[in-house]
Amino acid sequence: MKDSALVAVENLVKHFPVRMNFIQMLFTREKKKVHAVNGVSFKIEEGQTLGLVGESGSGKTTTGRLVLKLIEPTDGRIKFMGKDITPLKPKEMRPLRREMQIVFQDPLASLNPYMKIGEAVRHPLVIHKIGRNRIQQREMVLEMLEKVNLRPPEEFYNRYPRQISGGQRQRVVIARALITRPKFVVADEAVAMLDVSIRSQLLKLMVDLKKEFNLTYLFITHDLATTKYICDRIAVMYLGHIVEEGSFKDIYSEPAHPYTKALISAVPEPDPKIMKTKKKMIPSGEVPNAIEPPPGCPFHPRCPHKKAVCSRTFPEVVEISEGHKVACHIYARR
Amino acid sequence: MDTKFMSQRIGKAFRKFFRSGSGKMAFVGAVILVIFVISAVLAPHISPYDPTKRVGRAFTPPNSKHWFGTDNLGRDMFSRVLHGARIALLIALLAVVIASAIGIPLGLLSGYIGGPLDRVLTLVMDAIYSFPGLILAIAVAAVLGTGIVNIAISIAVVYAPTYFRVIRNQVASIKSELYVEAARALGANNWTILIKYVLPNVLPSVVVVLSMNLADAIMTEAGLSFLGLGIAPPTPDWGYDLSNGQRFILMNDWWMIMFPGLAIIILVLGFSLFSEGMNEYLNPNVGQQE
Repeated sequence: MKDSALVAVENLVKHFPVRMNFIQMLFTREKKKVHAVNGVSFKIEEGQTLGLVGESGSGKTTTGRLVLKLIEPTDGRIKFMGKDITPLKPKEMRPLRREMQIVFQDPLASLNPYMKIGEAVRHPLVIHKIGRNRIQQREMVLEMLEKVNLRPPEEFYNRYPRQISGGQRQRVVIARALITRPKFVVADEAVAMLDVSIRSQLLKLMVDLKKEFNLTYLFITHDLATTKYICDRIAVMYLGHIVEEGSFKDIYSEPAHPYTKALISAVPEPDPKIMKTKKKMIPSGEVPNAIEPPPGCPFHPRCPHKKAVCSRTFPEVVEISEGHKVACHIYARR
Repeated sequence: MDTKFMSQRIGKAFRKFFRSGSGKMAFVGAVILVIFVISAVLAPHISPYDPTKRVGRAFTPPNSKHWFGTDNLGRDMFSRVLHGARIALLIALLAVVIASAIGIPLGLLSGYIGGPLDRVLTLVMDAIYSFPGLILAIAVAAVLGTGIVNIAISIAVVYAPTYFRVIRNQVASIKSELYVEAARALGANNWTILIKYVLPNVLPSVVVVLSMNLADAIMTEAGLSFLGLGIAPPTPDWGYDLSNGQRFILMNDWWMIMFPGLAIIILVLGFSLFSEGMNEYLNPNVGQQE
């Protein structure tokens, strides 16, 4: 049976051990762990964009890194192009990296300060031995720089990352990610650090490039508003769990999970009249500690619709309409 | 671009000669170093006498014929000090090259790989580092014997841990930088990451350690020669001249130790000023404040 999904993740788990000092080690029997990702499953069809939304600490960045196997999962399976890549060693992953790329949040930190922009973009070609020689590789780099609107490309080729602006740097990072013509790109808060005006330009660029290269994105963000431009489907994460997943329309107009409802109500509205009448429901309290997550549903300590069962068992995932899945006891089948 | 960079730096140092401390320091250090290097290179051509031959009466105080006087064997001190710069610089450079050739690769590997290798190497290097430098150099020199290369090796043993520690700690922190993770995500292997992403980012701090170590190496070399573990006697050497001259200090023959001593002090000062000034230039945070 061939899976049509380009990327499929099943029951992914990642726990990070907590560093303890010597005295703490003496008095604790079991090792403490941060439950960063706690059984996450999703599929991304080829050419689709899945938005992974959640507040900081929800495990969305860890999920992005796990999918690319930049960190090893504690448990679960990752399938890429129908192949199980979970057991692959770092060395065996290297050739596959040509097909899967990542764009990080901070463009300045993700570029080597001592590497010229042209060289940084050319380096993936060197690593994967693409192109016949230097001259041809240079041509490919210049073409790519032009595609991400760094014009004239010759001028940018010999500059250092510090000599260009933040938006330009992120374009360089995108060019570097796309030069090997990958199928799948993880965008980890790729536009979060940029000014609002530049942000929309870059989102438009990412949409254009997606069409041109037939890309599949995993778009990680804490900002629901940016998902509007780019995502086909959205998964909402809370404390290492996906609490709701559905098409963009499902999530935006018919949010089912209490947490998603709260998130949607917090998205600012451009029209002040609507903004005033809009019912806001900000959940009380803070996100619980991921070292000792609450038993049962992770959202229950803050949930306005809390029932007795919520603090005991984790809710089953229920499909309330075609492709719209929720993990909440309210919707549990009786 | 590089020349523009340098000329800007020197021009700036001129303009801020009395305002910017680091510019002044690096510039003065550089001038001292250039003078010493020139005199070392040109020593055979500019020195008035052969430094190893009797050219006048013994114990002549400084005069117009012998600017720095003559020693107990009637050799011209000025010629000896000039030629001494050759030996001092040669051994210091050689020692620093050997020390960095040992310390830099080991530091890179230790910091990047980590784990048991890192712990063992750090332990060994710290053990060497904890010895007083001159005593360790004496021990190694006593085993190896005299000669330029042997002296350079015994000095290198003392300074290799300095490179190791600086590089290792830097690599350990650079390893977790985002651009290293990005390189891994691109599919680069460890070797490529180490050479193209980690090494260029640690090299600036190596430059600073390098010039500081040159200063130390010159003092250690002089110390070894002073103790008779350095260069074989007829060759002009500041450390040897110092130990030779101090025997006659009671006869008030001050010139025999003053000039080699001054040469050592000024050259070491030059290296220290230069490295200190460079350190502040290469440190991006200081640069931005201007």
